[in-house]
Amino acid sequence: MSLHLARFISRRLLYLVPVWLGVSLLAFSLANLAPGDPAELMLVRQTGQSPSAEAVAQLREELGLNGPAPVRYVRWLAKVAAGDLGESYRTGAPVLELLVARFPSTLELALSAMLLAILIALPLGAVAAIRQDSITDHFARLVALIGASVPGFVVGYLLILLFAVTLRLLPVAGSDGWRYLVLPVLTLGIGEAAALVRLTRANMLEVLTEDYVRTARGKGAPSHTVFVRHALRNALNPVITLSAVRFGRLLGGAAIVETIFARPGVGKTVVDAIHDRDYPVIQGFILFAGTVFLLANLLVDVMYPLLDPRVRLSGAERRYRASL
Amino acid sequence: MLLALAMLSACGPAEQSTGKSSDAAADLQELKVGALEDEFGLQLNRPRLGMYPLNTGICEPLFRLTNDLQAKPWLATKVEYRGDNTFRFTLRQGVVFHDGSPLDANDVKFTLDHAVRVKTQYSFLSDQSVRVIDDSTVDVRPSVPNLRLADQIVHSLWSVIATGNDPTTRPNCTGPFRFLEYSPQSHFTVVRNDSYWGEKAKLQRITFRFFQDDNTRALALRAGEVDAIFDVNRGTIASLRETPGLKILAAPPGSTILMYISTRGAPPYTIMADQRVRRAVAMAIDRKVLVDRVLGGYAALVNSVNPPAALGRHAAAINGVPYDPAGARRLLDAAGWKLSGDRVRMNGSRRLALVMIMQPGNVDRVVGEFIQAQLAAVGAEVRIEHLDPGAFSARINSGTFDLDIEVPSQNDANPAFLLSLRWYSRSPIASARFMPVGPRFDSLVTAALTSESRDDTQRRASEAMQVLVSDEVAAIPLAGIYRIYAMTDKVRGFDPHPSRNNQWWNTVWLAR
Repeated sequence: MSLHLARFISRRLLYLVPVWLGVSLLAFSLANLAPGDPAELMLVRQTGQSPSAEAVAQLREELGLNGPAPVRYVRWLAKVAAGDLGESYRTGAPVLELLVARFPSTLELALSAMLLAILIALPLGAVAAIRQDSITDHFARLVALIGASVPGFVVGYLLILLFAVTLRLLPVAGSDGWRYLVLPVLTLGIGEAAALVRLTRANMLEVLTEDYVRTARGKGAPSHTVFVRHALRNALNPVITLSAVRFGRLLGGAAIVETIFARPGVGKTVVDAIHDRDYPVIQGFILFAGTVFLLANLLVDVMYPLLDPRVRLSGAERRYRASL
Repeated sequence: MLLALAMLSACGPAEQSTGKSSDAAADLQELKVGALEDEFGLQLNRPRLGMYPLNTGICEPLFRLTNDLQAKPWLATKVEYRGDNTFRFTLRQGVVFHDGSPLDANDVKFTLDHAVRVKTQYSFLSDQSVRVIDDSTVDVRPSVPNLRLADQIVHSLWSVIATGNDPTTRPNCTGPFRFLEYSPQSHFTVVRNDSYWGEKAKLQRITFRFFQDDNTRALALRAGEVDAIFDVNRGTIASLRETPGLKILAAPPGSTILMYISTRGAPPYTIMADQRVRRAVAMAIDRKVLVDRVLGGYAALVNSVNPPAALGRHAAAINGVPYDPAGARRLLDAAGWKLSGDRVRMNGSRRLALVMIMQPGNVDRVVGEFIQAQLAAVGAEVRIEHLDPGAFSARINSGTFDLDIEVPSQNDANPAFLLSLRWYSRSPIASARFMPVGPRFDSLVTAALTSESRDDTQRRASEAMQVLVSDEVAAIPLAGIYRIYAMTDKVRGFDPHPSRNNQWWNTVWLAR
């Protein structure tokens, strides 16, 4: 690693601290400002009935919910700094343990979907740009339009109907092996691919008009060298940026797909926690996901100069600040 | 490309049933059930694993809830009220737990004390409530006056566990099935208990798979991954009915789509304080159309807030409010609500605009939209707010709503359960103070709760219901809901129970 790069990464990591604190404040505020009493909801869960006011008051005291919000925030933050995200109100399980147990399933889903999206989007977008206004281009744009327009849950049900109910090739739902991953990955990946296809195509079209591409062609470079080495590589930066942003969305947005496909991921866990006002889990997830998202963006920033030597670190820094 | 991916994945080892059951599978008599979301892990230290809300047949209470919502002696052969708020239960002889130990009064004491320890906020018991008389006799004295204990004890939360057992990890009970395996969020498996004291189960094994999503559950049935599913979504009934080899079964009403009314709501939710407006709202809703068209016939016209079966022969005495839109308009006119230019009635400067809250997972959205349209026809504007459970409870407990649609279930045999919980002035719950009915209602509920005779309890509860629904119109029963199950034709002997957590599995078998 060069000295420049090491400094750059150090600075990025330092920037993460205030951002991370902001995320923690946001996490605490969002959870605690939502209407509804976690103590009451817990008691409803236990018996299926509305609890008495006395029982609610007693549980609130046990959960430490009666103190002022700033005091509770500082207490929570101090515990987080010590690596303790607290315990779930609903299950009593340590939040960190819960997230670590559930996160791999969501990460597996999100990473696979993103990989599939990139595998579809890069060639399709590039070919669409290279053969602008051809049948291939129209087809790619149509696919992208449909992929972006049809909600993920509809895609999910259609895939289940086709591959599980009609063809009986894949299981409907569950998480008992890699075959159970195929349909949820397709469901998430198709939507992501749609966005990336359009961006790849647009960037390629722009790059193909650049002087250096014309020069390369004029010098008699083979077509594939011109397209792949000169055009596509230069068109990739915005695609990578968008991929990082959308990866964060994927982590948070996997809940619907996890629900449809009965996958015990963190997304579904957090949606349930929101419904039950399980503050520690909500706060822990936002912090956890926020940290993952910040690190993903850091990774992208580090990748810029590696992918494109023209990109100087100062430029990357400017982009980074602009993204905050 | 998608097809190629799927083909490729199909080359992997078969990991689930293809729906073509072999003879071997039929011999095994293993039933796969598509259950709802896994809620066992949601509360630590609660005696519910395999019992509540999903009753897997491994545990049993002292009394069972029958399909007509009556309490039937089960692990106890009888109960007698001995005065002084004390019930004496006599236990069945010859019952053994899954580990082979015999059931005795100490196990009952352990079970009830455990419920107190883990705060199952339901019992009105204390650690002083249970006294062992001898091996087969136990006295239970609730911590507050409660003559309905014998009706409440049928709930699956009261299933008896063996002394010293931790029901959160491996329940040791007496039921026709034994616990085998639990994989959170995935499945719960039970096997036949060959030493069961009663009628032995016909199935050797049941695997309950968890599907939170209604549509996925239905698709799993169509794909042959499960043999039966719970709580069929009304939107999927038609497609399931048209699928060869599948059948739909419906239990009698065990729950009611119910409109709660904020009779003393926090300002500005005060419109429904006027009994004439409440009656007009009830008269404006064509419940027959709701049942026949909106709910596709999988519902019943009811006049009571809980299933009529719970009230026995006295349910017929409740009149309800008949559909009469013209009468509703006249009533609203008389109450000072006059039609204005935009078809919404006004009373001075105030619009007849009502806020109706709902929980999407609890009630079909279409029900809310139907009511909205029906009330619009008589000049009342309804704004529907779909709220998540947290926001919903906050609104209910602050009285900030006009109308609230919920679907309460009857999971025990207490005819006055819902009355005493939601409207009774002595109810401990916060929302009850925004929905008072009046002193006559209160005195009838008190009489129902303190009667030693079950018939008298049902009569009093029905009279209280008449006051609530017909006289004061403080609640509007919209429809009795059938609990709908779907299954393959090979599933036989399934007797659908109106209460999901009282469903019984030992009569079920699989045809070859």
